Amino acid sequence: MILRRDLLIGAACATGAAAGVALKPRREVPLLKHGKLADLVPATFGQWASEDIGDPYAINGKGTLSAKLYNELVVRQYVNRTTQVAIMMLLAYGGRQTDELQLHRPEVCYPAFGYSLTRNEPVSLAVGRSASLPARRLAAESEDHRESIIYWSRIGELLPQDGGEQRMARIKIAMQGIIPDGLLSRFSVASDAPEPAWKIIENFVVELIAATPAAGRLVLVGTERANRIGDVAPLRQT
Amino acid sequence: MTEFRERLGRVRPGDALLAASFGLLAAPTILSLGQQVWTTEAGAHGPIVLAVGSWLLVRALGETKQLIRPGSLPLALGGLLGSLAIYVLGRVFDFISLEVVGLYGVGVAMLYSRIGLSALLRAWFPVGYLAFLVPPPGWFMDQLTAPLKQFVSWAAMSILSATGVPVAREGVTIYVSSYRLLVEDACSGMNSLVGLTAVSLLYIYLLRGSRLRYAGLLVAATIPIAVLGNIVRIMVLILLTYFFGDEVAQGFLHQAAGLFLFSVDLLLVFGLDQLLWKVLPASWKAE
Repeated sequence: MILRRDLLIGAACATGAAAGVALKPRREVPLLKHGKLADLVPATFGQWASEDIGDPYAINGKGTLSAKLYNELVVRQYVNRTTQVAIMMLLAYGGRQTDELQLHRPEVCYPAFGYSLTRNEPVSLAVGRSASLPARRLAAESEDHRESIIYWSRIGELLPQDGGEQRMARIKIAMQGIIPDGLLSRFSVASDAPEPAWKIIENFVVELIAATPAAGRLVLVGTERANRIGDVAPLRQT
Repeated sequence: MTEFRERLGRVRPGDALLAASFGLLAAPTILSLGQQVWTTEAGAHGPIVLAVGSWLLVRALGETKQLIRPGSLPLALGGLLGSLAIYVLGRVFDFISLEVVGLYGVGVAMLYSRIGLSALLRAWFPVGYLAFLVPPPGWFMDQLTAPLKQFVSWAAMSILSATGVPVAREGVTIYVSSYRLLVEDACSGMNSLVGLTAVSLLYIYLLRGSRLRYAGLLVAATIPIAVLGNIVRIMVLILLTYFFGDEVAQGFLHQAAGLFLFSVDLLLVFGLDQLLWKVLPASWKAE
């Protein structure tokens, strides 16, 4: 005997299953169309020359969480020829952002790796005439090491500034039926005083973005900001 | 199958329809779980929970045969539609935790419609146990385990330093003589906290029956036990590295240390249960 209620429940479930299939995003729209990120971001520019660090702690080793999350990891140490200041750059690119496979935010990772954060705040970087870059700056310290960090994260065309915004960004993009790519761009300087170190990083980032060709700029900051930055030369000199 | 039929009382064609509808929703979710959550250390207990939970549920339903009455239809449909909405949201926006919560709700609503409230309450343990299938969101696990990881690596290093092993920590790495270990790897044992709780609960239920207070007490005890076990595991990893070098500690023995840790934790839970069962007053053991 099939009761009316069984039919009602069955119909509701079938509708739910169909909605789950029909509404699920399946269009992958990566901003990194072809080539490698490492080739798009200049290794030397202005006063800066870099050395590839690769993967110093084998953090992207086979079978690690990091290897699952990121398709490409670019780690470089840039040194300024005149000031000898060293900036560590880490670009972690993931071609497909899903629930399990999504950017891990440094304000979560640093404490997990034994650092405590003394500063942790959103910041807006002026990267062009009319473009600002929503980023985050941190000061982290462990027993014998202090670091000042500026980073931003890009998911599809959005640049979320914290974990909540990152979740909202994923929802917004999913509503457009898109599976986005994602990039974490992190810059750090070993330094005891965060404020001057952040200033150095900010100037570096402005220069780096200006020196990056359009195809790479798009991957770093998204289409709209890349267009707004346009072909303007570096606005500030370090 | 005949046993199943005997236990459930009458199995109507309507039940086959319900099972098929649920399967339609569950199949893609289980596929996603299998590809993502179940392959990680934090979710590896999933398949066991699913198998054991389903078996316990069928068993419990057999014991509640006399209590079975259809539940209220408006309530069942309300719960079902709400859960379906959560399921679809989770599925479309790719939040696996939401998706499984929704699916779980659909299952409970169906069960309620079929057997009613009093039978459902009688089967509270297997129904509650299946909730372990809901993967805790990543940010939640990070928040929960980060301070524990800190403490665990600090404790392991302090004990070893006191015994004269040359061990030091710098940021993400632990240095022991000329080798280095990643704190993340060393601490990954904390990820199996949920799995340990699930297996402990199963043990308590099978051995002691559905005693809510007692089960709660032992579950609360699994956290310090997991912490203790993980301190031991990190010490073992550091000592292996110290005496036999990187290759040995990172190879087979790394895996073995994880399994060893889980077994030790379980034995500690079993031991604690034996002890508590002897010393606790009867009021703690009430069903």
